[in-house]
Amino acid sequence: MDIPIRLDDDGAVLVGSPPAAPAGSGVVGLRGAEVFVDPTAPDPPHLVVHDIDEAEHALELLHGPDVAAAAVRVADGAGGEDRVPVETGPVAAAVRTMALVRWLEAHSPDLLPAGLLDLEFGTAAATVGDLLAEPEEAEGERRLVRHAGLVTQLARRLRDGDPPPPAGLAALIGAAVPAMHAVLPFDSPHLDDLVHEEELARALTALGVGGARLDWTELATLPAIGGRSLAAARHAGASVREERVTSVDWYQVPRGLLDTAEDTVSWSLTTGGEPSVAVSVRAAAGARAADRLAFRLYSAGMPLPIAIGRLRLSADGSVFTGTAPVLGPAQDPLTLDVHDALDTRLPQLGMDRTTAQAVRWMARAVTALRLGGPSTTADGTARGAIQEAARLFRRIGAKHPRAAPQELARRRQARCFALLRTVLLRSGEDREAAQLAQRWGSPTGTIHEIDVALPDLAGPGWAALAAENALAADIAWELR
Amino acid sequence: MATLRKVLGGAWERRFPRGTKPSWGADLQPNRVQKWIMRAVARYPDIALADIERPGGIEAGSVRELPLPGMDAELKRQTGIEVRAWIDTDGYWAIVVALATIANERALAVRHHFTGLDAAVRPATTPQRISEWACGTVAHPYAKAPALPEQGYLDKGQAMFQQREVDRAARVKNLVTDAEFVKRYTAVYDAMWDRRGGPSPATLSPVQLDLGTLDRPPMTATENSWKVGTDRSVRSRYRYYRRASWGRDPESVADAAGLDPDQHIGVRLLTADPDEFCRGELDRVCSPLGLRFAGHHVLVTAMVEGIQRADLQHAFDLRGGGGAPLRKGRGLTAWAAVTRDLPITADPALVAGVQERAEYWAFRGPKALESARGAAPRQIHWPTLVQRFVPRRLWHRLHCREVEWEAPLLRAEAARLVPQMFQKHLMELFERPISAPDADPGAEPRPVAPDDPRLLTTLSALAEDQAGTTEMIALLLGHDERWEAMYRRTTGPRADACLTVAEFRDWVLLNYGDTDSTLGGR
Repeated sequence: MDIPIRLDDDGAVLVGSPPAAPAGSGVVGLRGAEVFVDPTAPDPPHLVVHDIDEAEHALELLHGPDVAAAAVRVADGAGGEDRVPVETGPVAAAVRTMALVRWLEAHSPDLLPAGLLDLEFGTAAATVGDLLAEPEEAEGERRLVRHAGLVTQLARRLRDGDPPPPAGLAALIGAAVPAMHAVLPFDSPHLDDLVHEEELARALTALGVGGARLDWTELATLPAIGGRSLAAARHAGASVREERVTSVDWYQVPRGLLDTAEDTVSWSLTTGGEPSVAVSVRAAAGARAADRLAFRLYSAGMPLPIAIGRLRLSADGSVFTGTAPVLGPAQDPLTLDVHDALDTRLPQLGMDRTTAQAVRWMARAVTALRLGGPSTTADGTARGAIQEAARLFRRIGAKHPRAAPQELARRRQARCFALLRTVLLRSGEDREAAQLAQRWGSPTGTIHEIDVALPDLAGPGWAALAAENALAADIAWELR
Repeated sequence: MATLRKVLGGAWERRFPRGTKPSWGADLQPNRVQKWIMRAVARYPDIALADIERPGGIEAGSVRELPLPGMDAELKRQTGIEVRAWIDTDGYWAIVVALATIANERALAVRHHFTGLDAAVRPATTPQRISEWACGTVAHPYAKAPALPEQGYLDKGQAMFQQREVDRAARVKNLVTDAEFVKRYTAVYDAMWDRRGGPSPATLSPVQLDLGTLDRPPMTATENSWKVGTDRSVRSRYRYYRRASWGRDPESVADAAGLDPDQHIGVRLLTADPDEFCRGELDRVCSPLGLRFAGHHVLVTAMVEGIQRADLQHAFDLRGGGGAPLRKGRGLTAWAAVTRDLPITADPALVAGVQERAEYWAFRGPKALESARGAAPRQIHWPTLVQRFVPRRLWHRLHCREVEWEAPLLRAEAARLVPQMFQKHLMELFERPISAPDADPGAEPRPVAPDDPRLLTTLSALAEDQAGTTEMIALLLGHDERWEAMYRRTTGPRADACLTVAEFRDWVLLNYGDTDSTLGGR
């Protein structure tokens, strides 16, 4: 596969095309460059190179020597755009894993086990090593060291082999043990346990075939793919019908407190006497009381909320509710925003709100397909989510008041349809896929080649991480 | 630009791709093998393993030696050709393997020594430090005259290293704990602040520079990240002395900055009285901006001023193609070339260099962020955050530097550091993960609660004049200070029942609603 390499107006070297990233993306800082991974097109990732001297070696190990050499030529002023065949270098998988962890942390609808995400990130960072920007390398070490106890505990349990661990966990721990062993300070209370695990691993290596390190997958039974339940099934909740209905943007609230379906917020205005707003938000199953959820009501033409209040868990644990006085004139369109009072982010209003909703639908589709893996069990759920995202992106492309977001929305719509075509093709619905390809199968105008390229759902970039698989792990693992 | 680091690193990667390690270097870090052993062996291109296995090795000066620069300095063309030719030979690798095997054995022996100690007395040293020591010790005699290290030399070095690590750990352990520090030194801090801490903010106020919200740092606080700047508690500042390890490569820092290695805290901890460190940190806290060196005061002040002057929004908008693209510029580089030391009085050239760099970053950086977040880069009002947090990040780095090295930055170091302040850490603000349900971000000061009666009174007052409020918010977002007068006017009669100006500004920056970016100033 060839990728374009060109000099940007500001002197940065762009390696590959900037992705449309309809579900958002994950970023990793290398020395002299940033890597962007779009989970709908994870391979090869896009790079923005600020300092080719610093980044050249990383580029070589990520995309191969030809790409690195071409980037140097372009940076030196060779001019124009070069197209070079890209290779999968020895650090590509590790960089991708780091970026996917970042993406999951910022976009996943699910409450994933933070310890496993840290281990995924730290173990991958140990592989990439000094190619990373210094803060990334330090973050990788920090994420590893703080879970030394978890690693030794899981390593022991993996050897017991019962119940079956989530897919990928054994390989992750197999890699995390030596990575941790290389950084854990000697005064750690977990050192002895870790040394034991490392010595065991070395002994197995010594007994192994051809000197290859045996990883823990050879000691544990891998679970069957078909046995998992899809987290996506939890995402697509039914609408709640009341006077006014809206959605929670899960980027705005702490994980695990609220249902991640759309249309879970019902609210109403009471007029006459003291005007007020009453809000009810569907809680996540098993949510516990929290006093950090709040809501804000925005009115057309007013830059500050006209009502603001806290949300509290109902006695039966099914909803968070709250009321607040309305402090000014309420003019449509009114927007109710649920947010975290301790970690507040700006509200998304107007088309930005629609964009956030579209990105959420695509995040649902991507997480479902990642969990479904090579099977088609998630395809139905994913198709619905992709179509919803595409519909919203089309609306943004037509109605956004500014040109740049319009253009990006059209690219994202194209990317949605590329993913949809892939899903249709693997379900044998070739006719529908062909119809879609007629309109969305080729780059036109502002739609790039990368936007319409069919993703390889069986490719390594689509394989779920252990932290994702843990969603469906046997409860005995207590990983959630 | 060819450097020794690239050339040696590339040769290593060709044989041992990332994620793999040879058995003879299982307990060593590859970059340490490259930096010490591969570099030392690369210096003598006409040597065979058999030559150095002879007792006594080879006499210094009797063999050809390549003039190798530092790992990151430019490699001259001819030297590069010779080095590349030599390091691809089996003869080169035979010597590297021989030396690295010895280093690995020693590293393993040190590991076993430390793990054999009772858990309570193990030093807080790290495998990286052991790797650094083992590779450096084995390569050191070879770099002078090619030879395998003698057993006695290695035994002595190993014993010294082990003792030094234990001593260092003991010294750190002798430092009072954080809790004891607070207990013993709170009164000392009070007295010292009254005596000399007080006047500092009058001349250089962290509050005025928006490096923090307090002129006097608290002894303890719940939030102590770089984001709180000079509000970082005294206890947290002291805690930095008790770290297990500091900068990852102090030798390289010393080498590049021309510092005396004895100025490093790792060495100072061996000799100084623990009480000196405690009082020393209090002395620093009471210095202007909590920094001891005048050059650092100038640098951080220039950072604040330069970023304030920068028109970040305009620079950001230029990326849309509405004007000539910004170039990286050479302001900081030219400033660093003038002389070696930091200025100790206000330096317009430094301010201009910072401004140039900030605008270039705004032109370039947020584009990357936009790629990351797609079409919604407006999670926060980014110019305000850049203006606030970049200087705070610098302050944090300067404090760490002062603790670690008893020496101010050189200009060249400062010129490298300033651009770094705009990099990854701002991604934390833009791309922060969704918080966990039980994670308390512990913001300091705590955000205004949604049911705070003062907030409701404020919003009620402002709701009475929709047009005026819209105009005021546009001014606030556009950094036009006239908004403050408008706010005071609106809340005037009820001022005591409303948020303060500073509270309101911070609250607005997280709560204003701007449908599709129609407000001014963005």
